[in-house]
Amino acid sequence: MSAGRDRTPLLLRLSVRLLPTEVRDEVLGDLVEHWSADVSARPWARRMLWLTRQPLEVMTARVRYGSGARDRASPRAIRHRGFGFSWLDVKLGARMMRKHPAVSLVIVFALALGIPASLAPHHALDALMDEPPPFDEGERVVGLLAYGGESNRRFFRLADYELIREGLTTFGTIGGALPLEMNVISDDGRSAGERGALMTASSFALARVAPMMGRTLSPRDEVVGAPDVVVIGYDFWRSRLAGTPDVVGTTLRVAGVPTTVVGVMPEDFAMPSSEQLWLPMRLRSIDYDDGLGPGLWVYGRLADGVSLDQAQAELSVVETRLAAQGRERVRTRAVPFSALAFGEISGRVSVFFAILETLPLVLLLIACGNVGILLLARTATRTGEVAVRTALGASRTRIVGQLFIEALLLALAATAVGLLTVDLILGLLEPRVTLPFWVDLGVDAELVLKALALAVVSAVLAGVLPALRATGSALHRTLQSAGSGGGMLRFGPLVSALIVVEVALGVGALFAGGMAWHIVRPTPDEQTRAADEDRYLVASITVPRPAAGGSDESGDLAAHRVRIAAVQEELTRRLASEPGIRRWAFSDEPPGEEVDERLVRVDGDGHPADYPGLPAVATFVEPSFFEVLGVAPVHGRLLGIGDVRLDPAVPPTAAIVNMKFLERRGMAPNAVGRAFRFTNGRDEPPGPWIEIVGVVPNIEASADRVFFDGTPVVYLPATPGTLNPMTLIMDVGTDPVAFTPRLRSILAEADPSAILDYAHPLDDLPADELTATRIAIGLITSLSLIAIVLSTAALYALMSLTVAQRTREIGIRIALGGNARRIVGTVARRGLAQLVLGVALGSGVWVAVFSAMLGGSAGGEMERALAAWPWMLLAAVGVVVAVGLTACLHPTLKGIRIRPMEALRADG
Amino acid sequence: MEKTKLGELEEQILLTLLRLEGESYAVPVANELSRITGRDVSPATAYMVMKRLEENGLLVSSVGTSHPERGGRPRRFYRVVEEAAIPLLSQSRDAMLALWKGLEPRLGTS
Repeated sequence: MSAGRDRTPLLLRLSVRLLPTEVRDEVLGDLVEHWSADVSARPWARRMLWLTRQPLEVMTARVRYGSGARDRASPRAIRHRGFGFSWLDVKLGARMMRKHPAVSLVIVFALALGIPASLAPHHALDALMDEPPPFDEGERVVGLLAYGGESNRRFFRLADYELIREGLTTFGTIGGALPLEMNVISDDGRSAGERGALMTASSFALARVAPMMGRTLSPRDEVVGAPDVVVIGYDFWRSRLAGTPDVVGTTLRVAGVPTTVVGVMPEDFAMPSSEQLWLPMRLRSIDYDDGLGPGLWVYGRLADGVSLDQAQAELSVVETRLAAQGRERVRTRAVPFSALAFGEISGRVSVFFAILETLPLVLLLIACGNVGILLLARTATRTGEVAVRTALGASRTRIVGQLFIEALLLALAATAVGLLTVDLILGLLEPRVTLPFWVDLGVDAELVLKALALAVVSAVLAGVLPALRATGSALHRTLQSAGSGGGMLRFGPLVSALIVVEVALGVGALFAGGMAWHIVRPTPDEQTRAADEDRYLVASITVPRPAAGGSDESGDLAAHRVRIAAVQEELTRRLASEPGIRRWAFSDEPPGEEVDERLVRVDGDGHPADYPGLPAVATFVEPSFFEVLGVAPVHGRLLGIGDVRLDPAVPPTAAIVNMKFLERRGMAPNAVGRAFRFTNGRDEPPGPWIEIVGVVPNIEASADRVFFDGTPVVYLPATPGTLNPMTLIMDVGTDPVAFTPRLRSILAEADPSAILDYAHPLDDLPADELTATRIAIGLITSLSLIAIVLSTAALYALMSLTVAQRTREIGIRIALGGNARRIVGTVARRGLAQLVLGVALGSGVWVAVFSAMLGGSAGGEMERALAAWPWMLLAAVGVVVAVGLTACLHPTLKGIRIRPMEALRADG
Repeated sequence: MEKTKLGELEEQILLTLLRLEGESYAVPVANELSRITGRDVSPATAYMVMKRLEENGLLVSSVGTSHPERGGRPRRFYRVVEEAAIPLLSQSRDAMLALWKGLEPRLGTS
């Protein structure tokens, strides 16, 4: 079982790392005690100040008062230690940071963004994807997924689970769960939704976690007709039931049913993901219209001595068995348990994650390059100091070592700032996202160590290389020219080339950042209608089928449909008398969340007979669905009562399509009267033709979900009694969340056994999809901004420095009566030439790439989104040229304004 | 190693420990020192100074029990070895007084 997160401030844990191992624990104890007793109650700013001071305090304490401190810091020791680093270097480094605060800030900012940003995606993916659940031999508990099929699913359906649960020899135990939100009324009368699951008794056995009180579920509880029992989680027990010691045997009303609590699980058990209530799984696939039942989380514990590969081999046989049973053809996979929550990383997803992991590393390299240039520029201003030290006998390694320490100090400061920022962001995010119970995204020792290692690498890349350059042959030239007053490091062709490359990178970074933002930003268009998410509440309701008693399955099914329709009617009746509820409608999925993708072929599309068609999402809705969302038809009409079939066996004949449906197929907007049909792939007979009676805009849940790659949707009239689970969309005017408790009561009154799976505002986060999208947009925008800031800062620094070096020359020329305009032209010429070359190189690469990429294609949304590239490139070039010109001209103009003698004195 | 002279902070910490009944640990020492002198001393600094004084034979230490407010980490209590510390403190005081002697009227201090 994983222990709770250590709440000791990260900076204190890092600070004591500066001390000898044997005293760390005790000093940390002192710091923590002082923090808890005296500091933590102070205002935020003072707390931060105290925290950030501690590393320095600890380092000072060690240097001044640690064993043998005086000996180590003695000048003699420094002189005799060749390459070694000393406290003096640290002090010099700190002094340099204070002396050049602007440069130091830019460098710390760049690396603070670059170092954690390059580690965070990998760290998060590791925690999310590779961490096994905290069970005994947790790594042997694996998830089972079934991909593909018509519905493009990834979970085993209930029917599949029933087929495999006994037959797999590579697994010791197999279990399954169906996570649900359950309405629970406790003894004190409080009613609230709780995350729970219908779970097999075997799940507890395979987790090997014993209950804290009472018992877990047993196979007897799964028998239809057995007493209703529930096992509760530790958090639920503490928060809802106040940790009552004699809770076992008491009764809760779960989904309207009096249910006996039979056990309490220990803290940190929330299987399969973050649930706190477990009811026995009594579902049967035969009770469902499609004969398959809902998708389940299916998992198993590998039998002793069996590997994951062996289990996978057996699952491949299962695929054949499922196909032989007439099931849809799926691809089965045995995966790490965490993949049940997040999906398996494969195919295109793995490419996406590879990019996500690689991109920040590239950014870090650019950051290091830029920081290197800034340090080189700073080092160039200190050639006099370096020359004097060399003349006094300091070795090259000694000087390089000192410059390395300076870079290292900056990198360490940046790492501390970056890690603190990451910790702060994670702290803010933690309460907002629901993660599986075993996932801890916090900053841990491994991340800190990796960040420190990266800080050292960054210091080597950004500090040592410029230092080698500054102390190499250039230094001797500087020493030789020192007598004539030319004590500044001269940049040779290598640095010129570096500037050209930097300008090109600047164009590239600005352009790529701009394009990335352009592609991912929400792009509302005339064909898209975003619902006003502040008004709508979306709820998913399941009407469970009672335990079947007789052998007349079709009769049971029909009765269940009647009951679903009755619940629907009763809800309608009660909502009508509810003040403030303006409109509502039922559908099978919420708008903008449709996932049931099928292959659709339109008549007269000119393709061969066996052409399977293009995918579109099919969703069943009540005719009032569009009116509730305030959507009017673009062409034709909306669905009417006359389009609704009362017999589910009779397929619909009329449908509405959205604009994206027509756009993907290259059809004219007025497609009313055309017909389409579901082809179900090449292997199965196609369905009947369905007429398009109307065209509606693309409907999205909110404005910020409108992306370039919208979904083609066909809306079919729902037959009463077939929507289960049903989605209820309500226009509640204002504050949708406030209506949720009332909805629970209405549902409980309409049908106590009906389950409210979830209720949330239309634009809320049921599947964390929106969070992920927003994070992706935020990430790309931030990375783009970082690239822009870094590129422009480094570009400006380097170009202005190359010009500034010629101040002395400007002074002489002015003294000799030179024409100011001509001097500006001559001095800035080299910089301008580098600027032009860099811009040509940077934009030329992109022109070539985009011309080749978009040359032959025209139609897709991606191509259309990318079509803005010439303007974006022009904007990028504009920014770089503006920065470059300022960098070249500003110091030159400044140079000619100063008096010649001042220029000569300053440079000499 | 025998200690012959005390640093300023070492002297102040020894005196603070004596004020705290001769035995305490870093947090109260740092707090008491800050309270009396106005000098902001980190517990880490107080700890390291006391550790060095222990190496010089002026203090002896013992480990206390773990405490939840310290994240379960133990305290290290330091006790003044009076026979070693008092002569040094006296010597330091005498030197200071000798230096001050005759200056009080000039500097306006009593």
